Amino acid sequence: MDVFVQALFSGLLEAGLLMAVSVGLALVFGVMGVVNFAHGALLMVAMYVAIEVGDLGSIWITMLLLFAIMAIAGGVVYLALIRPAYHLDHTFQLLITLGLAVVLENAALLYFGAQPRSRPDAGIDGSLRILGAALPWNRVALAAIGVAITIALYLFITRSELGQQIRAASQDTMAAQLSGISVQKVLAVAMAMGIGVLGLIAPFLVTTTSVSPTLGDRFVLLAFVVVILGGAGSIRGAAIAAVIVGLTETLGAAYLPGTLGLSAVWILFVLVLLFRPQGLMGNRV
Amino acid sequence: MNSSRRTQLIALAVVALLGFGLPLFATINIQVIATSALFYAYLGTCWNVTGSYGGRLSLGHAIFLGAGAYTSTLLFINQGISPWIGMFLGVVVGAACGALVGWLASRYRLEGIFFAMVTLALTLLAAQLVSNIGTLGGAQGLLVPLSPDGAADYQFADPAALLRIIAVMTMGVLIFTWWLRGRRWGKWIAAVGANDRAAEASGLSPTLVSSVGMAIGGGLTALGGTFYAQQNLFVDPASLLHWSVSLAILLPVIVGGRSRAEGPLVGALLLIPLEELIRQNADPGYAGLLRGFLLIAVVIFMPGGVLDVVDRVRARLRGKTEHSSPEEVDAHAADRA
Amino acid sequence: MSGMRRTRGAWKVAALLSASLVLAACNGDSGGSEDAIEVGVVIPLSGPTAGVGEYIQRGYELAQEEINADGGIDGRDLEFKFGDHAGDPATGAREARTLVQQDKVVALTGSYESGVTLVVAQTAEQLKAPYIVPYSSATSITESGFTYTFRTRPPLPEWAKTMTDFLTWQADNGGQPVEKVGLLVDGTEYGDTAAAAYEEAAQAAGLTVVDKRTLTQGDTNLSAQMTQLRNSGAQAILASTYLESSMGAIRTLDSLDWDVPYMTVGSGIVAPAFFDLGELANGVTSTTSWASTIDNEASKKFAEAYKAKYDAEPTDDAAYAYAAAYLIKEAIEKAGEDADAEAIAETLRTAEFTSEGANIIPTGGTLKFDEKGQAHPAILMAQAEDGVWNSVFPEEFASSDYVPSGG
Repeated sequence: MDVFVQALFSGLLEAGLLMAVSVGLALVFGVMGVVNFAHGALLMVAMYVAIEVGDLGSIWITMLLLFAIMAIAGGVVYLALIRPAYHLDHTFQLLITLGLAVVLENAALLYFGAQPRSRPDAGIDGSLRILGAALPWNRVALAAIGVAITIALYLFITRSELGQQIRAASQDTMAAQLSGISVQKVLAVAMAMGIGVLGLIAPFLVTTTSVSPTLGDRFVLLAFVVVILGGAGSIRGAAIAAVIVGLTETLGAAYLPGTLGLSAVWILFVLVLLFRPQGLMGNRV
Repeated sequence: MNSSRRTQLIALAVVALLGFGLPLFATINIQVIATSALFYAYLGTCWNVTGSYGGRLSLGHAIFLGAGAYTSTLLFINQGISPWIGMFLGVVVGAACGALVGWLASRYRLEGIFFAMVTLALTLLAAQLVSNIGTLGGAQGLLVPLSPDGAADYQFADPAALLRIIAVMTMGVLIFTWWLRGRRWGKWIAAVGANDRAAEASGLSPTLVSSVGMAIGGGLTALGGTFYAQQNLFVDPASLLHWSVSLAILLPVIVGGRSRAEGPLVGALLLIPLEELIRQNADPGYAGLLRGFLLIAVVIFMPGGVLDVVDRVRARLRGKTEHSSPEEVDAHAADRA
Repeated sequence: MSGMRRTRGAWKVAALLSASLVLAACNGDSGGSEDAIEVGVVIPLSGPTAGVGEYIQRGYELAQEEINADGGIDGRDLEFKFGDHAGDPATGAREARTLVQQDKVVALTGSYESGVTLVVAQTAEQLKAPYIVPYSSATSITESGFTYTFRTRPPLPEWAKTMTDFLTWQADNGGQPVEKVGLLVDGTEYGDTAAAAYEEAAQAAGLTVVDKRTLTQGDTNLSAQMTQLRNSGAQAILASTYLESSMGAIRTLDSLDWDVPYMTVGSGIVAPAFFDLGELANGVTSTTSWASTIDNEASKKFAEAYKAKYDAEPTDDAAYAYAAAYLIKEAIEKAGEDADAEAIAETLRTAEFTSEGANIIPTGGTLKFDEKGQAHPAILMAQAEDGVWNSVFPEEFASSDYVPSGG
């Protein structure tokens, strides 16, 4: 029972983190159909920046600064890499972002070296006790930020005017253009938002997880599972899928032998791609 | 686009010169680099059977490579069967894996990025499974035991021998690909890859054609897997069943060009020596940086690859407006998922 | 198409091909001074373990500098030629092959990941070149029947035995008695081998293994596994975690208020970066194959020289690299002038090595390989205290007293 409770809560915390990592990817995928293979590598970059920036007096300032940096990075990635290939098949864009991931990984290796780095001391000490489970406060904070980001992004997309333009552009490019929406601008904003949110979690993530140049690999693959499972571009879907994947991972680790817990995630991924490629939520936001 | 007889002869001559001429004067380092270049030329050509011209972006060819490497190695370790024979059983296993992937792709209409994602996920799954199965060597992998018979068991201390073998394999797969492209089956495979429904309308079973196409690609790739195992005398999931292996197979295809059979050869001969040059002389990381930049640059500026640019320059020199590849690219854009 | 134009296009292809080969050919000739004795070092200088590779490279370089400043080997310089395997077995095999067949090195050393080490050992065996392994501790390296591979680092079972010996010893030295141990290993072959070694050592020491939990390397959230281990009644944890996960484990133990010994293999804990944990690091005790504090003059000299040159604390990997360099020097000297690879291999099989440099690792003064090519230096237990790893066990190599937890 103890074990189940602990695995359950750990899975939920993992889900909060996965949400934060995945919603941006879901947004980009939903709006432009672009599978951004560099999403994980960009998270890795955000984490290094968070370590380099260090303490700015207030965590909120750090978050805002990182959001700005990553949003600009997202905009640049769109203008420099995605837009020139926008008329091509999506597989070409996948290759471009794969190339970007390789570039970022190696650039980080050259600049930061391969030694894992973290800021464990910057975290919040102690843990939350709940039903016999112990949850470190810095992980709880990370998950809470993840959920908050998800809700904020959902509200942005559904409530704000810009968000509605993004949705319009993603659903019917032609009609959006006719109604006076600058599709290119809207897509650049979507990409900036999608990448920007990585900056929001990075300052928290570096307190629980060490960053090394290859960190992106693991996150990007898990985020793919979440996005595909949730349904193209659905933020609600991604949130639900993050819970499913998080729980599969921790319960799998607790009850399956060896590393088969992770295999369960990949099997889930293949099955969804085969039987429900539109994901849990279809085309709904 | 089909290649002229003369281009074909030049391609074969280049491979033959590399394989049989180079060992006469070149250092071992150069021979090893040439072996690596031809190895990726071979794998890229196999990929291209179902890649471009089958229209599908596979990120799962590492599975077929692994199938060949593991089959011949396990047969050698457990049954004492020489890898010269084991490699053909590897082809059967690789072809079976390919047929399964081809069947899934067609049965579930996996197109574009969805096909790429499924093949990626299958690679991850395969790596996890092999890592957890002790009889397959688990995560640590399997050593190919040294044999006193050497050459009879596909083991060579002399790097020139391996270079000759991979040269012959590359020539073989090139000739096979040219031949296949001129046959009905080759055209069907291309049709199914490009557009399932069109092929269906022409009375073919797309599922069958798709399975056969991937089976051919998978089987040939598996042959490369045995070569890999015998070159390194070692197989393990981390270095065989990883998506970066699929990317390494794919990159020369993209650089050289997907539209022609000799594209991967050109790509590998340009890319691998350059990468090695950097890897051996510069700080670690620069070769990877080059790899990433090249991938981006080629896809944005010449999505048809080097050979496509060559073709277009030729067409322009002739003053004709005939340019096939850009249209092909636009055709891809049209069937966006 | 006219024949002429076709030819022109084809020639462009050919020109591109030959251009890239010319580029490669420029790189062909190998430099190096005429009369230096060259030894090949295949280590990870890029890839996921490049950080470790840097420490290792410094160890060899420092030794090379000292040896050559001191007259080299019978007047000839010793020169290490480095090859980067990037953690990839195939690249490791190629580098080893090129070093032996083209650069004509008389011996090989290095590798880190056990997969790469196995492949390089296989290549060395095929090419009959002696290969000194100072890093990987996987059992298979000395159990594959290699006759040209010589490992200075003890295999996993000896690490496991040190852990259980220590558990018994610490109970008599102010610590809590331990009867039940829990295992925390990863799902790879390394984890399996470690688990088997721990189980065997525990049984030999009269300890009961009450539970075995797995993790994925790199995971830092281990609360589920730790809760299970606690429920099983374990009084100590034997793990196969790498540094990141070990740090996660120590944090998890703290969050659970569970104070038990947590031990893993070598630099999985005993590394400078572990002190990122701050206050939490103090008191943690784990295995290492070397510590800068051990009572050995040459070892202390090495640690100081390393710190002075690189402005960093040397790791056990760096110390093993340095010792391997001196071992190679001594082997070449013992094998005689103009010794070839075969003579050096034979010397390594039979001779006893007593030079100070080769014995900065805890050998007690003499390094010798058994019939499987395995040397048997001691494994130490080191305890963290304010940014320093103090050797506390076995007493022969202890530099400080063990401080029991809670004490």
